[in-house]
Amino acid sequence: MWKNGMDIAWCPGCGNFALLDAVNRIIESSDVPRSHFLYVSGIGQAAKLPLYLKGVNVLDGLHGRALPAAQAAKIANRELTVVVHSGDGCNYGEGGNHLLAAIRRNVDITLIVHDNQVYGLTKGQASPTTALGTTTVAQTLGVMLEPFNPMATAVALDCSFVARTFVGDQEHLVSTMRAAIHHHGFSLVDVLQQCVTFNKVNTFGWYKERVQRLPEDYDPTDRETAFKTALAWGDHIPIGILYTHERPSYEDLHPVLDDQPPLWQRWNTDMAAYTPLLDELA
Amino acid sequence: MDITLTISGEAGQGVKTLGSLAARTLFDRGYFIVQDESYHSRIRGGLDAITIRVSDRERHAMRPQMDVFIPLASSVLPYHVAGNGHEAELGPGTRVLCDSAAGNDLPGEVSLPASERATALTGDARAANVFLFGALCRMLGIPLDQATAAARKVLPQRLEEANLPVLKEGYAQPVMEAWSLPERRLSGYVLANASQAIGAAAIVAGVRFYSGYPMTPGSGIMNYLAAHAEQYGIVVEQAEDEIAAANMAVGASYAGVRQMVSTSGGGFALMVEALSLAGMTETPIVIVDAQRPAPATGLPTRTEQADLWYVLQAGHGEFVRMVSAPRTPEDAFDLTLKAYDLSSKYQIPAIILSDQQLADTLVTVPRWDLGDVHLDRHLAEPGMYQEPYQRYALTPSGVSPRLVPMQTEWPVVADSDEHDESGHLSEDLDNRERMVEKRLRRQRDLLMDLDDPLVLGGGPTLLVGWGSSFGALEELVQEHPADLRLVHFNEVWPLKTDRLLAEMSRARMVIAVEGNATAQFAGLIARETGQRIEHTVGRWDGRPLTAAFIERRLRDMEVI
Repeated sequence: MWKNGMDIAWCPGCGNFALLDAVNRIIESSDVPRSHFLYVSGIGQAAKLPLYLKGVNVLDGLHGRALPAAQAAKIANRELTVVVHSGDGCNYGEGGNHLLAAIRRNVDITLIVHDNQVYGLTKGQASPTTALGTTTVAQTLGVMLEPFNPMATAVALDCSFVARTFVGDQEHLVSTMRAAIHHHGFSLVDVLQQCVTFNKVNTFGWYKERVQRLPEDYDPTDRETAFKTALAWGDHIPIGILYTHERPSYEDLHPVLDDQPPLWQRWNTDMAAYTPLLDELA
Repeated sequence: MDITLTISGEAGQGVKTLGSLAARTLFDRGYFIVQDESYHSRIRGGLDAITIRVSDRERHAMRPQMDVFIPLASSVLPYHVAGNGHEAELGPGTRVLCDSAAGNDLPGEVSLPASERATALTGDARAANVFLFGALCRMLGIPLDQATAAARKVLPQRLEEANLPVLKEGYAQPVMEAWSLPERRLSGYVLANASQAIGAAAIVAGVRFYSGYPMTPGSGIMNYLAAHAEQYGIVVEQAEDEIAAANMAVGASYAGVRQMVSTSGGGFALMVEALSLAGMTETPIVIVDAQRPAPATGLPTRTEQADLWYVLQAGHGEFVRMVSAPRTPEDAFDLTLKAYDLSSKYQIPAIILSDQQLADTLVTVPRWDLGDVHLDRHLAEPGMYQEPYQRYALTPSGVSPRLVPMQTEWPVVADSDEHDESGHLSEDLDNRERMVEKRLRRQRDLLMDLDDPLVLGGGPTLLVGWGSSFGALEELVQEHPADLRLVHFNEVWPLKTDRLLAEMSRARMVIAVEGNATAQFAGLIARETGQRIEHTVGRWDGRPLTAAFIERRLRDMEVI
């Protein structure tokens, strides 16, 4: 459908539209110039989001492989604000190993996972977050794999920022994603959203009835509480910043990245600097 | 003058230390060296043999007939039996130096109380290697002070003082001086393997980001860059897997930093989807595939030239790439600089095909002249692109002016989907045709930037080779200049065929010589020229081609 002069590939009613609006609000209200944002994605319906943004840098890479590319781009240029948008299949399935490593590496980037518990672009197969027993075109006898719990996994790995939000709560969506971008270190935001075409169980209404903002007095720095909260699923699904703490990012710890200019600008054509390399071999 | 000496033992016996001591001494004394390491994929036991060829002129291949043999364990003897063909061979004239504790009982063996005296002097039997090193220097007619200077350079400082008396006593043993190696002047040379040469060239080319996953024999480059990371400001990241390493390469290069990835065939296999991504997004990346015998895990510590077809075809879809195959460590340095330059100029992936032989063989080669190096990132300057900036602007050459994020205010949009000039996904089929043609036509100019193959010798029989086979072929053609001629490639894709076709048309017989079983390069030539090369000499036992190996085959074919 057409929106803002663009031919957008999403279905009418897709949860991605609310996400796109939220991302645009964040970019517009940010102090960071548009040309300092880098949006990276994998492949999937969610991964098309960066292509619908205006004035920002975009690297739309391979299915499941957005995180390695995004981390390297950030290491190459610390001045970029790097945000990854991709789906539950991309990040929790195909790119699972990269998610674990990215949490451990703690490069200062933000990962927004559009989690609709189903594969949209490939038309309706189970995703890592699809509920047990769900039948699909590929899982005709029902899903037999225990659903992946991204929040509990992230807390278990001591991820420096772990949050969940919902496309049906625009204010919460914007504030949570904005907090994630502001957070120094790797941030994971799991965004619950409907897939109007392929997920007839976890509909907008299904999520709306179940999501509950975390209480005002919730302490997101308490890891044990965060882990318990991360396990909650079913009739009540907590949304908000489940867990956050400050720890040095990869760039902080890496002595090569400690000062300016960013790596990509350190271009040396003075060959005298390399004489010792050859002396070593003589 | 041409002497081959081999130190052979089990992994963990300190073969490497003794080899390094000998190589350092001989290099410092002004001799040309080729030092090969043959080892099993294990931490202890098995075989670990270092063979050093010492010569008064530059050579690039091993001569596997031993003049001096230092076995550190009797378990290694079967590997070196004459006629075995895989390892350096014992001959009737081989002089054997060994520790009396090892008790090999080989003919002509000089048995010395190495471990006994090492233990008495230092309390550590492992110092026996230093004792044997002393005796070796006596045998080669090298003065003690030269040996001592080398020991000071090679041994860790904490062992230095304790080991020097061991060296002195080893040197004082009643060993016959079989050679007298006078001091030679050798300036303007370095002793390097291809891992060091590629690593050094990468740093010179401006590499400030490395991503990789350990895999023998590709790890040498990672280790080299890691050892220089702090001094030259390089981020060396051991990725979670090769898939991540290759996608990091694309991300880093997209963001404007020169990168390096090194691996071997199995790791390269995991990088292939990202190679295609680099092809589609027109992102320059450089990947080194240090080949080892495959399929699958194969022989991890051995050599082969069998990934050629694979790297030529790797990656789904059709895109331009360049593939170079260094002949020597000297060549590896130059081709690495060229890979960076051309991959940036044409915005394509460049693959450097090294192998275990190149990666692990130390060779005395001319020191590179850094004054010849001119670096260019080939990024667009203001005025070189139209506004609004479009990353994939259509141009006659197919090369679009390249900006990186934050180089200007213009955003840079790169997409793995088929895209229009602005980088946005497009399913328009006319656009698809234009973009495919744009990407592919860059190969025309790329081919012009490549060099012709090297031609040596004047004989009627033409040998065709590529990459690391050069040292062996060069030596063979020098020995039979009236019988043989060589055409040798170090840039294998795109393939420059004019010179080759001219040489083939006037040859009486054409023989492809390759370190593989299926004559892959001959197959490439057939594909590109329609000319089939009927005769082949291949080696696929995991050991490097040598002049002697090829010569035997040519004699069987009655060519020489």
